[in-house]
Amino acid sequence: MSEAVDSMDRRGFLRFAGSVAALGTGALFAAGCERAGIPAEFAPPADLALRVLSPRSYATFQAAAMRLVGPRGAAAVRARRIDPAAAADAWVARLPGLGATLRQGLWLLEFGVPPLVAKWGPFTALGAGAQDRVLENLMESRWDVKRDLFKGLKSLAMLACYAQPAARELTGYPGPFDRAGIAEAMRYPA
Amino acid sequence: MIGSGAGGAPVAARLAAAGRDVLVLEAGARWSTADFTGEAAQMLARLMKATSAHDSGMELYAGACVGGSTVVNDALCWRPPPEILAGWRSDHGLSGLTDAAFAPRVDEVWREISATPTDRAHLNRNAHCLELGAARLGWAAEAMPRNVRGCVNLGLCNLGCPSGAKQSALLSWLPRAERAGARVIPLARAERIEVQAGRVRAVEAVKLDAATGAAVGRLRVEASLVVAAAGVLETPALLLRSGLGARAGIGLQFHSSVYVSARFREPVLGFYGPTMAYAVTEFSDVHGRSGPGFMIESVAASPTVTASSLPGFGSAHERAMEALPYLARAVVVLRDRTRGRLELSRAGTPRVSYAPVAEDLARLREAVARIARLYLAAGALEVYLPVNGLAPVRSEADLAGLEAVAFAPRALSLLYAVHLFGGAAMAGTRAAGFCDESGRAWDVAGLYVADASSLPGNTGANPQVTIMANALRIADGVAA
Repeated sequence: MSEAVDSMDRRGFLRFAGSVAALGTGALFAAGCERAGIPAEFAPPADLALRVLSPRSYATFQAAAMRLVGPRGAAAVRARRIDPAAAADAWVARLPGLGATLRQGLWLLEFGVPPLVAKWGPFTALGAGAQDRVLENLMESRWDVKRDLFKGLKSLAMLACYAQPAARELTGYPGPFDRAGIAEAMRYPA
Repeated sequence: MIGSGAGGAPVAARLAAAGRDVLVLEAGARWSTADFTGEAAQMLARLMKATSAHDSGMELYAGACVGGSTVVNDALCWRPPPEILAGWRSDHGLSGLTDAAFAPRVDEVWREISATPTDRAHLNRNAHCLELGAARLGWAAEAMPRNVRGCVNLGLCNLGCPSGAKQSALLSWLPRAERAGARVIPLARAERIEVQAGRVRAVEAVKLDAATGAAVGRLRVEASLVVAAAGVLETPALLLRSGLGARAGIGLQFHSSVYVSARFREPVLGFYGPTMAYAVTEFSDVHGRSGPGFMIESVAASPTVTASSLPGFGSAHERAMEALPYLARAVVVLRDRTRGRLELSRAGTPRVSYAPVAEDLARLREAVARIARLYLAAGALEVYLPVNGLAPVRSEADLAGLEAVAFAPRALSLLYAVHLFGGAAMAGTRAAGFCDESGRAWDVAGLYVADASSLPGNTGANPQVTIMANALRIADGVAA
């Protein structure tokens, strides 16, 4: 099967993945779980108007972003000081064509099953260690499309997280107009 | 005019000055210097667009505002390399693309955008790390000219310069065009060029909502002359949507890029100072060099792009990000041999195929190893290579492991391109390109291409000056 998957382009893979994932989680999906069962720590705020993501895909992105950025970043997301899923939703809304791909990818991450995604059950319902293993499996897969999913999620999550002013506490970046910092950076050794 | 960036803006200025009634349609919004807040989340959403090559995952970025990529580039200025022009003449039958044809236009561009040598006052510690390593290894390197006036070293060139120092098209060509009577319509995305009996007749566009980007109306502009300059991700797509597909979308070529970061003992504060200012030219194959064909350029350690480009994820990634003030960063600008293609998706949006050939991947690997050696020579404690799963390099001995690593596009933490070329290229014959050497479409009267789409290949160096000079050359032909 891996050869067949390798030969697919992204759209074909997602169609294929959709079929397999639907088989694995058909009952769950058919039961209308789009909103039901989203863990509170990943759920969108009630007053957030999403433009591209559904509540479920918002939660899936948020859960993935929390593992991708690391424990301090995850704590900032959990405390709602940073909201990478909301930032990603706003950015992708302006990029024609990317929204559908992102939603498909997140749906696959949430509901996909082996061999496509290394877990049983929704991604958002897994523990942190299991979520890390899923992401590692995507990152290290020999299937191009799985690595594409990882890279797409990581790029967007990092962008959406570290572009937030509140993320400066994670890096020591003082912000864009720190005069003393600028002067120090330009102190060029003789 | 369709597009207001490095290609469209100079043409608009030239044709308006020649007395033409110029209307510029630009899909992006119009922002002013006062709107450039330096806040990455806001600026990225306002100013940039992204896509990726479906067959390699290579990420592609471009400007998406009035002024195009000149608003979000790093302000570097290189004259068109003579070797590149010679290649375009010999390999693509473009005999008119001589150094003499370009020289006066390059001089004009140089003046208009205030291209200026970069002095010590504008070289930051990040650049110094590159300079020091290159000096210790005996590699050729130099500060690069930048198009700035009164730069105050904010480190935000590529997020919309908040000080107004960077002389993007927004502050140079477009005001000049408007003073001469050109009108710029932002948030108007060209959907189709109408052709009747072999001549352009009109451009159909949709008006976009400023807040959401959603289509909110339609626009039809009748014109006897249309200049397509919407950028390499959009111009070929527009031609394809217009049914002008023969030889549109083919021959894409980029500068593939990867980042390498290095942690030093002392703070580098690479997020401040010009985002790019210094280059190792030792391995270039243009401007008199005969290396393997890549440049190594200093690049800002901005939090967002650093995070995207560091390998891996989770705790180890976060520890590297905690060291951000101590990171120096460099980027490879590879003169690709790869050729790609742009087609339309079912939705009519661009779908790019670009799978780097083995030679390009081998040279990328070499470039990464060279940067690691340079940073180690400069005293780096460890170097982060752009390969997922690879531990930081702390010594020359560690670098031996790089040879065993699969250097495939998807194994890299971030493989991207912002220098995009081709897709509606000039060629000496109708069979070989979309337009002739004057930028005129072979098969449609009144249609010209004047952005980087019209260039037959990459330039081996940051391309804004070459694109602008070529646009002026094309505009002069139109105006004559």
